[in-house]
Amino acid sequence: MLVYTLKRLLSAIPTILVVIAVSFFMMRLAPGGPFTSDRNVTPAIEANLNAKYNLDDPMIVQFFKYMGNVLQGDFGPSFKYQDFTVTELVLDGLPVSATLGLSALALAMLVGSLLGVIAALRQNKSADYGVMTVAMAGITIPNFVTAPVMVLLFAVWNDWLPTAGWVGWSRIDTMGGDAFVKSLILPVITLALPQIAIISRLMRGSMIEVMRSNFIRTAKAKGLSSATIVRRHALRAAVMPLISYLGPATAALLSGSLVIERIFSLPGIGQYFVTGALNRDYTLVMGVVILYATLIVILNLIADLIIAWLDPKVKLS
Amino acid sequence: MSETPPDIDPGHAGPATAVEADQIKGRSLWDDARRRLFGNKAAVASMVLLALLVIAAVIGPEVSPHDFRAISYGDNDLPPSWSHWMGTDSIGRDVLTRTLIGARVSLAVGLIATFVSLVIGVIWGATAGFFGGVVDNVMMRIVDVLYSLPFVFFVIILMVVFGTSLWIMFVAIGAIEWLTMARIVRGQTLSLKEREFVEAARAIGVKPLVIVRRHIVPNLIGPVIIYVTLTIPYAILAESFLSFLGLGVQEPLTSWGVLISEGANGMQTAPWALLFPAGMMALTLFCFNFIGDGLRDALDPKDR
Repeated sequence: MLVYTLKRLLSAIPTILVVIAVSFFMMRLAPGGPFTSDRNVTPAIEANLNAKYNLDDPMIVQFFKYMGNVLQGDFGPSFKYQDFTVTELVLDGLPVSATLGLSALALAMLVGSLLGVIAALRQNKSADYGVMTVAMAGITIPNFVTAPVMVLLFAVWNDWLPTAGWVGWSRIDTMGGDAFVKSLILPVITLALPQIAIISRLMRGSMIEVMRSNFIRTAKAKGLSSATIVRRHALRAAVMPLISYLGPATAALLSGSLVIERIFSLPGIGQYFVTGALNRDYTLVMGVVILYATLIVILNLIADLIIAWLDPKVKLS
Repeated sequence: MSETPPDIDPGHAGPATAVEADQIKGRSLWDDARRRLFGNKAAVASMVLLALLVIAAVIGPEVSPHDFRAISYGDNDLPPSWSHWMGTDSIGRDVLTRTLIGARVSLAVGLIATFVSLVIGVIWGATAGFFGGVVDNVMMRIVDVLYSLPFVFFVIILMVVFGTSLWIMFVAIGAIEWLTMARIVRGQTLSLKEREFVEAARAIGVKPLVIVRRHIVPNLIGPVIIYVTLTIPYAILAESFLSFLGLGVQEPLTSWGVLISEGANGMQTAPWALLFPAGMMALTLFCFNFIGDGLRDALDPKDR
C-alpha cells in the first residue's frame, strides 16, 4: 500500500511537470507582457521592470529559474497585484474556494447517491423516471444558466437569499452564522447540480447491476430483509464507481467554480485565474494551474486507495 | 443485457433463408437503424426542433426588422411585444435577433469543433488500434497524460495567447474533445481486428488496406456517429462557457454565452434578456442529447 502510494506520487511528478511546462510556455507565447498595458510606463521603465522580474532572459532560462523557485516553494510575486506574492493571494482565496468546493462535493455525493439508489430500487417506476428526467436536465443545462436563473427566482423575485457576496469564516461573528449560510446556499447548490445529476446516473446504473448479482440473490435466499440487503451488501458494492468518479468530479467542480465565483462575486481562486489570464499575470496563473493539477492528481490517488481498501478484489500494482 | 430480438438482427441470414432472399428484399443495418431511430419519439421531435432552429438561425436575422447590433436607448428593457418578440436588452437591442445570431455562432462552433475532434480522434485512435504494440502503447499513454490535465485551463490560456478569435476557439475546443473519440475508435479497432470476419477475410487473402476499408471503417461508423452527436453539445457548452467568462466571442458579434452573461447582469430590469437565450440554449442541448441517445439505441442494439 505504502509502496504503491509512493509509486503513484512519483508517477504524478511527470504529469505535473508537463502541466507546468506547457502552461509556462503557452503563457509566454502570448503577445504582450504584464507591463505593456500599464499607462505612463516609458520604455526604459518597462525594461527595468522586465529586468527585475527576469522577463528579459531567454525563455528557457526563465523557465529553469522559475522551476528552481517553485521547487523551493516560492511561486514568485504577482505581476498585477503588486506587493503580494502568489502564495499570499492563493492562500487568501483558498478558504473561499475550498468552502464552496467541498460543500458542493459533499452535497453532490450525498444527494446524488441517494437519488441514484432510489431510482435503482424503483427501476422503471415513476420515481425512477422522475429522477432520471431531472438528472438529464442537470447534465444538459450548464451552471452559468442555472445560477442566474436561480438568483432571479430566489433573490430577485423573492427576497429569500442574497444575490451575491461572501460573508466568510472571519466575519461570522459580526454578520452572524445565518448570513454565512445564506450566502453559501445558492453558489453551492448551483455548483453541485450538474454533479448531482451525473452521480445519480452513475449510482443508479451501478446499483441496478449490483442488485442483479449472485451475492444479492444469496442474501435474499437466506431471508434477509430488503433494507438489510441494501444497507449491508448492495451499497458497499455499488459505491465503487462513485469513488472512482471523485477525481473527475473534483476537476469539474474546479472549472465550474470559475463561473460560480464570477456570478456570485466570491473572492476565490477561480477569479484570480480568469483575471490573471486576461492580465498576463504569468506567475499568478501558473500558481493556480499548479495547485489545480496537484489537487486533481491527489484526489485521483485517494480515490484509488479508497477503492483498494473497500474492494478486496482490487490489487494495487 | 437481454438477447437481441431476431427481427432486429441484420445481416445474419443463414443458408436456410437463402432462397427467400431472392424474393424478399433484405433490410440492411442502416435501414434497420433508421427505422429504430424514427420510432423514437423524443429523437424525432428533437430533430424537428433542431431543423427549425437551424432554419430560424439562418434566415431569421436576415428577415428580422431589427439589426442585432442596433442600439436604441429609448427602447431599452422593453418586455416581449409584437415588435420585439423576446423584448429588448438594457441598451435597446432586439433579444430575438441576437439570440438567433447566437444560435448561428453556437451551431457553427458545435459543428466545426466537433469536426476537428473527429479528424484528430479517428486518425489517432485508428492508428493506435490498428498497429498495436509499442505504437499503441506510446500513443495511448499520451492520451492518458492529456486526460489527467485540467484542460479547461489550457483552453483559457490558449484563448488568451492567440487572441479571442472564432477560429482559435474551434481549434481549442476541438483539441480538448478528441481524447475520448480517440479512445473509442482505438477500442473498437482493437476488438474488430480480432473478430472472426476479419480473420476470415485475412485467411482468404484480402489485403490489409481492403480489410480496413471494407470491414473496419464501416463498423467504426456507428460508435463514431453516436459520439459525434454527443460531442456537439459539449462543444456548444465549451464555447458558451468561454464567452460567458469574457474569453470567447467578442462584441459586436454575440453568442449564447455572451447573451446569458449580459442577461444575468441586467436581470433585475429585463429578465427576458436572460431567460430567452438561456431557454433556447437548454432546448438545443436537450435536442442533441435526445438524438444522441436515439442513435445509440438505433445503431447499437447490443448496448440496450
